[in-house]
Amino acid sequence: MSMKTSQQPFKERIKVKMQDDVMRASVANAQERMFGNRARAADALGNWDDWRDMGASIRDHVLENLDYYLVQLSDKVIENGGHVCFAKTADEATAYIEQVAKQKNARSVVKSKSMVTEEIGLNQVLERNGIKVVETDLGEYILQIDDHDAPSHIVAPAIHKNRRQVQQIFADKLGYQGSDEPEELTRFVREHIRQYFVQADIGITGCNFAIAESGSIALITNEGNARLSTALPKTHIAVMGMERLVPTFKELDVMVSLLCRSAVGLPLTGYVTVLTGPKEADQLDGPEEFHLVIVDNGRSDILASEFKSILRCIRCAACANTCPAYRHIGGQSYGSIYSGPIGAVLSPLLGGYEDFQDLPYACSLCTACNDVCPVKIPLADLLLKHREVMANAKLTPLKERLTVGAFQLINKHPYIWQQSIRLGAKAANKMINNGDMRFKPQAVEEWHETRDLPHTSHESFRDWFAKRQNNGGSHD
Amino acid sequence: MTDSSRLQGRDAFLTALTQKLGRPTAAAPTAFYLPQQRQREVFQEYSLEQLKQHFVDYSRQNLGAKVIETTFDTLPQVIEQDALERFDEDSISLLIGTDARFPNSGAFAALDSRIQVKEWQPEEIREQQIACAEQAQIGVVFAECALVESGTIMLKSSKAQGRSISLLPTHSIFVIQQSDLLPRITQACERLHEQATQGHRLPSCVNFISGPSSTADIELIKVVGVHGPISATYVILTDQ
Ligand code: SF4
Repeated sequence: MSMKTSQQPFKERIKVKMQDDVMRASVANAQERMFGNRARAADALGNWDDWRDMGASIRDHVLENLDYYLVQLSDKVIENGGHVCFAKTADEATAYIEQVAKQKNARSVVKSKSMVTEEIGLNQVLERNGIKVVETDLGEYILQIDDHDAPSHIVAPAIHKNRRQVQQIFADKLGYQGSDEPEELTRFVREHIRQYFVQADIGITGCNFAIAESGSIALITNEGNARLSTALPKTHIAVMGMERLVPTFKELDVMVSLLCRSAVGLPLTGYVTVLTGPKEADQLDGPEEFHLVIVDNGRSDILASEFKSILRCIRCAACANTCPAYRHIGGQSYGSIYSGPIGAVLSPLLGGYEDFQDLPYACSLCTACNDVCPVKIPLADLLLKHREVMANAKLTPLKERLTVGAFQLINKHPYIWQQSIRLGAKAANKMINNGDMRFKPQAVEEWHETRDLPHTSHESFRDWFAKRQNNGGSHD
Repeated sequence: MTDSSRLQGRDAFLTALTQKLGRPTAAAPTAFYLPQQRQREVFQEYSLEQLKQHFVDYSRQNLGAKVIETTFDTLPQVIEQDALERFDEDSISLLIGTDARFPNSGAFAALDSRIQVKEWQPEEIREQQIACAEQAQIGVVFAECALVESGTIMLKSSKAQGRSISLLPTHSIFVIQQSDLLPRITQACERLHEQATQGHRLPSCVNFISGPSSTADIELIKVVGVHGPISATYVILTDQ
């Protein structure tokens, strides 16, 4: 899979997806849980806004000094006995990995979840060399064996499926005969995938953060698959987007604290694994060879643009978990491996307006995403900027632009819209009861009343809400 | 700055990057200060006893780990009991690291005859040791330190304690010295930072492990036990 996951036009995609009741129920359920988990974890830590400030300033400092830290990082990896490939394009990255795989006569590869390897279309390149590639993250594995179904969420990629569908896929593809209990399904995969870990010649992972001062990479997971992928195969290849680094362990602390809470609502995930170079000569397990592939693939263009702040992103998906548009149309509607607000901003930048011009319209500009982003990316503003850029470039006639987009479509179906608002209100009530109020569906309703393309007020959501309260706004 | 056989494409990559940044390659980073230091405030006022209590409660309630407090002398018996409670079989295979902080191997040789104790043998053949870990039901390792906030065990890979011991067996036993309880990942990262600052290469694998492995990929329902261990016991040595 490369970045683009669908050939259908956006309008068609959402029409189909909006009628998929299983998907809509699954996404709504997931969104509510993830939203609640994140909010509780942030509350438990306290001073969350200060933490976000720390996160944003670390990310900005890294972006400002990216060349310096990339030199330091790569020097350290070499010093530790590893290999480094700087890849300007997706093709350069995959060609390098292909070459390593050939050198190693690799016949099988285990992968742990990585967005950037999806982005560069690595699996197809390996597979056309006759190499068996096994995705070992449970969600990714479900999608892989379901004839490469597209991911619908950047953290929990198979969230659009329910247990019965997963049971059916396992039965069809793997001869599974058990129940639809998540526990039994999970155990089955555990047993089934073990052999691949033991046999694999190469383990391929992404990289949540590289640490420049020591030449290490940090992997943040729950399942243990990244550990297996990097303990058993003799070669480990880590692939990272070039901006995914921190200067020292001190900043890693802050970033990991923000990421784990924002992504899954935990102080730390099950495994935070920090890997430095290949294994030492006197150790038995661990890779004998370590390769770090640093990928630009359009990122330096973003760095020089007014969209620069999107490179702060740490891929937590909190924005998607908050987004009413995402809730309605589901992740696959975006037609990109990057879905939700982050996907709507990033996909046109990395993949071009031609393929992703509709995504900036999959947004009601309610700005709820701005308020949850752990590194304070002004997502809604960037989406508006996309619209501006496209308008200036006269990419499509204005009328056309106003009639495409998720919300315009929903507008034509009042029933669906009312239904969604009701579900949204239910979710919001729960959040109020849990003592954390970040998102009010009225924002959407208000937008809904205008029906036209709204202007951002450049007012933060909470300010808006506070003002509304002061003006005697209702509490429902 | 030239590319060696192990370094590819850096010069061209950086030239393109600095062009975008509109400046020559930086010789030093700009000054950086965190606007806040909130990470240092967490559990600052806690006594050691309070830290331990939080660690125990969180690990039990949130991670589903079993937590036992004991002393150094009774460690072998505690491990024996945990093994027998967990596995109702005639032969239980237990793999243990040879970290110097463990009691000497004689202490484990005298365990119940149903328990087959094997030590991690770094001089042996890699595949054999990995297979041994694969077949073991229990892996026992000594923790570097533990993080109170998140119920986390920190492990460093070493000759004496391979990565597989805490990864392949279905059940993990982590042994922790009470004096190694740290408030949160902040303090552990500080130690790693110090090591890096002094120019030492870090161990090839440092793991922060919070309970058994888990997933929520199906309907967002938490299932404990995926690719890593299915259960975990934390043993705190209160006299260490
Ligand atoms: S944009 Fe912010 S909220 Fe969205 S995934 Fe990235 S870091 Fe998380």
